[in-house]
Amino acid sequence: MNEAAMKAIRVTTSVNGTSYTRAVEPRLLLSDFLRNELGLTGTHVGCEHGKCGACTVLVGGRAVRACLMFAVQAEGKSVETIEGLAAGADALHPIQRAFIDCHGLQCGFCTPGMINSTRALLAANPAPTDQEIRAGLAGNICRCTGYVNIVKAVRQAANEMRTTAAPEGVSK
Amino acid sequence: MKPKPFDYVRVDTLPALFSALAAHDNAKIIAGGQSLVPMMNFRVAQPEVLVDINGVEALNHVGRDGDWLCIGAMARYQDLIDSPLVRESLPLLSEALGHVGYPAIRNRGTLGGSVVHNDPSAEGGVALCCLGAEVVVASAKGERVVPIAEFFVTTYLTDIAPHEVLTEIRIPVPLPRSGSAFRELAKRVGDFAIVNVAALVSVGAGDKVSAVSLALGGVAETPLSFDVGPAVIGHPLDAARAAEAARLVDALSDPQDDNVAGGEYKRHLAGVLVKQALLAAYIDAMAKGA
Amino acid sequence: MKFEGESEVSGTPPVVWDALIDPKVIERCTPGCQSLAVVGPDDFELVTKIGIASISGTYKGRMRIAEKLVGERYVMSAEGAGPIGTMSVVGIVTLQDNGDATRVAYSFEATVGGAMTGLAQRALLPIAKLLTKQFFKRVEKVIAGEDLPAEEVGS
Repeated sequence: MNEAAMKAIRVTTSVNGTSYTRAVEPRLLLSDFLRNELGLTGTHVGCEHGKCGACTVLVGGRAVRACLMFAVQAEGKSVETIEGLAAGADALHPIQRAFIDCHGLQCGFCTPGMINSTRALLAANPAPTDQEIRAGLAGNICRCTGYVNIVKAVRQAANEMRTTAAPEGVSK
Repeated sequence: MKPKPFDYVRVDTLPALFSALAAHDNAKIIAGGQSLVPMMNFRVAQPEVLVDINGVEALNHVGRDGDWLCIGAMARYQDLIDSPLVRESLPLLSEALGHVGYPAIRNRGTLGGSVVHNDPSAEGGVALCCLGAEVVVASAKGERVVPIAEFFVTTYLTDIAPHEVLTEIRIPVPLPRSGSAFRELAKRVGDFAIVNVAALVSVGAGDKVSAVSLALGGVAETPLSFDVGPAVIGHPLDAARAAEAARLVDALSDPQDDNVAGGEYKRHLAGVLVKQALLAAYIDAMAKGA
Repeated sequence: MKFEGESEVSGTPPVVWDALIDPKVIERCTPGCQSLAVVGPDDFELVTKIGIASISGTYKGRMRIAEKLVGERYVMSAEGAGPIGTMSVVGIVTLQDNGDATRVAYSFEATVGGAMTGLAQRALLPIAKLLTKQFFKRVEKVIAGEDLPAEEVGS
């Protein structure tokens, strides 16, 4: 076997509130770690150079590209993926509900990244204008919807999150 | 695709960093990774050892030192944009960095990393050229200070050796009655700029321009300063003077075709943005009162 | 895209000419060259390992010299391919007497392609320019009989 591949490194990281310890190759991307090591396939892999946004997750409460971090760099950090967003099967997050209500997805490939970027956007700016929504989500590409319903969904989610007392754990 | 296999070392201090760099040939420092990891994913970069400096707290600071603002190499773009100190002292830098990529990129990417990477239209590099910044480069043997224009050698190449690390960026705080503006055009908000312009204008008695600094990205191999003093110093800055400045820049630049835009288009765009940026910077300076 | 420049090389035009078309000199002076195979008259295949700043990897190239006017000019065409993409150049190299030295001027048309990201494409020409400068510095040292440095700027 490849000599470098055998030099695995132990990494301990919290994902959606659960602590995981695994031995991984340094070159294993966080996106592939989440999908292949942990079976959390909600984080999607698109361009692998940071442009499409499909792999966006939250690390330490901040939106990051999982394809541009190595799993070993998540040591001691807390990661939130799309799988951790809903409180339960019947308790979707307002953002998730809004995307469904407003038909803000078709194939769903961009959606987890789009939702995580929306979380970050609304945490920093709870009442964005349409222009601010489009600029804030400019790093997430959608091939299906033409974005109009995504903007509607974010508007609905923002309205609901402002008017209810729903706590939002995302700091940025 | 995926990166080639490599060894990984995490360091928390500068001495540990220098030891790691000395111990390995073909070692590469990883900071935010927002430029390096895409290159590794495409195997354009193939370091054999990655030395991770994300834990070196000594490099993550922003502070005032007399007339200078000192930014540690590991300061993240978003933290600089959010910093009241940066917004107050260097509004040009805050404005420029807001154009860098997307939120996810800005949360990890660092200004120091951008400076060492040296993309031809990097917003950080363009603003720092305009502001007359200098960088501190350290090694196990000591430090040296390099003016930013000399640090930028050519595309993706800077005056830093494999055993060295950029530790700090030092920027002189602009004079009191100074205004600034940053203008950029990209296909999509957050994309690499096709052309960008940073302008800093100081105004003296009679609303006449007393000093001007202008830098462009996307028209040369690196971010580049252009001396438009002859066109604007000693006069109020009106559309005619701004146009003259744009002509000076045009005569001194030779933008090349690339996969994003043709040279002629970039030349035209530079002219438009130079005029906009200079006029906006002048208005900004005037608004700051006598 | 245009790719042009010039270098002063110590040595008279005949001496510099002989060096520039000599496959052994080309092999020694091309930065990072791992091997050069002569596949035909004035037709070479090169393998080079590049290490400049972040960019590293193995690149394969083909170089042909033609239309030789001995001591004065030749046409050079070259193609290279590697992780960063592909580049091909074709153009003229001219030699001019400049006292003790020869002014070598090159003017190429370059086509760049294949790279997956704009990032890589932006770098190809500047890197080619840098390597060309390094090449002529090394040719100068070879002509003078000096040792060649192992490390170059940026590698």
